[in-house]
Amino acid sequence: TSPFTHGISSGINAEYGEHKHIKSNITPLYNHKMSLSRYSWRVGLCARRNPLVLNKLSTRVFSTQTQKQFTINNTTQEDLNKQRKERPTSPHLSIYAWQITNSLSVVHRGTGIALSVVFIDLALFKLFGSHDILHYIQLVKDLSPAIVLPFLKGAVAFPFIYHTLAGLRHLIWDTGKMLSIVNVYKSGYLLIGATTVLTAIAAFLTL
Amino acid sequence: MIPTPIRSVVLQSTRRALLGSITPKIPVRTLSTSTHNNTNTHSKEVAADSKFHNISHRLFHYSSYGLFALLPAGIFLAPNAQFIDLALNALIPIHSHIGLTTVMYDYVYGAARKPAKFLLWIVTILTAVGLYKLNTEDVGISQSIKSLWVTDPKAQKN
Repeated sequence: TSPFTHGISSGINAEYGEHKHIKSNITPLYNHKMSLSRYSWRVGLCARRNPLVLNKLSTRVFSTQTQKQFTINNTTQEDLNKQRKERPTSPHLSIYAWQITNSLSVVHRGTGIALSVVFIDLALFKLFGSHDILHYIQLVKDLSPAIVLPFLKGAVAFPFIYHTLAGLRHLIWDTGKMLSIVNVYKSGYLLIGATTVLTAIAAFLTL
Repeated sequence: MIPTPIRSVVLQSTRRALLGSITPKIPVRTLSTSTHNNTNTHSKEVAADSKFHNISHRLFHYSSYGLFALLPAGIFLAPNAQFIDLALNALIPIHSHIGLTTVMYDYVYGAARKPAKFLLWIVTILTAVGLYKLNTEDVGISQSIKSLWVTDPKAQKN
């Protein structure tokens, strides 16, 4: 036994050691009990200085001269954004279940964009077109066969009707009314029904 | 009697005007429905009792009231709707600009936002000017929408 294991072989610290029952011929260097932390330090020391493992342990060298200054947190917002671009995103739209609530919201946004496009086109045709606006609208009506006209009128009326009624639903929510799940679904079904009826009327209406 | 919501809004705004410096400020997010990381790192501070954070939120809200009332009315009254058309000339670009800004903020991030915002402003101004030209020189917004449904007897004869 090495001098380092002297005193912690069986006998001393019988509560921590394994072989409580074995009496040893080795006399302890001291008779007091050591704490668990010191006992485990001694065990670790024996393990580290054990010739059988010495060549396998890594040696760390610390030098006060060569140690460079480091800051705890020097990542900028750009670094974080760069990391985020390379990190994979967890799925969101691909796993979110289509319900009536989010579908109606998507259609509300889509019809809003469509209506913006309609009014932007109206304005651009007026600004950069050579004829007045009724000429272009009459052109659209002339170029489409009679079968297509109800579909055309329905397709133009649908964004107006849907966005207006869904907007009404949003304005009602802004007052704090009808926010429960039951009422959200009720108003959603009412919206679908009203839009269908009004678009059908608008598709076959001639003024 | 002045209805209660209008009265409370008037009282609230006068109270805020008089006690503006005393009302505590809370940070709020600006109008954006973006769910992406780190797009709105700077929040604004508004009075704790303000219902609308910023002027664009108010404009959007009141323009939606106006459009809900005036667009069907204009299409119904169509050839004789000059004043409604002028009101729509103001409301449509405001509402579409703020709405499209929200949509744009949801899909465009970082350095691409500045040019997108600039293009959106160009489009809004062109829309406003074009609709004004439509109202003054031509038939007007409501009649041009309605004309898709109106069968012109002169065109039918030809």
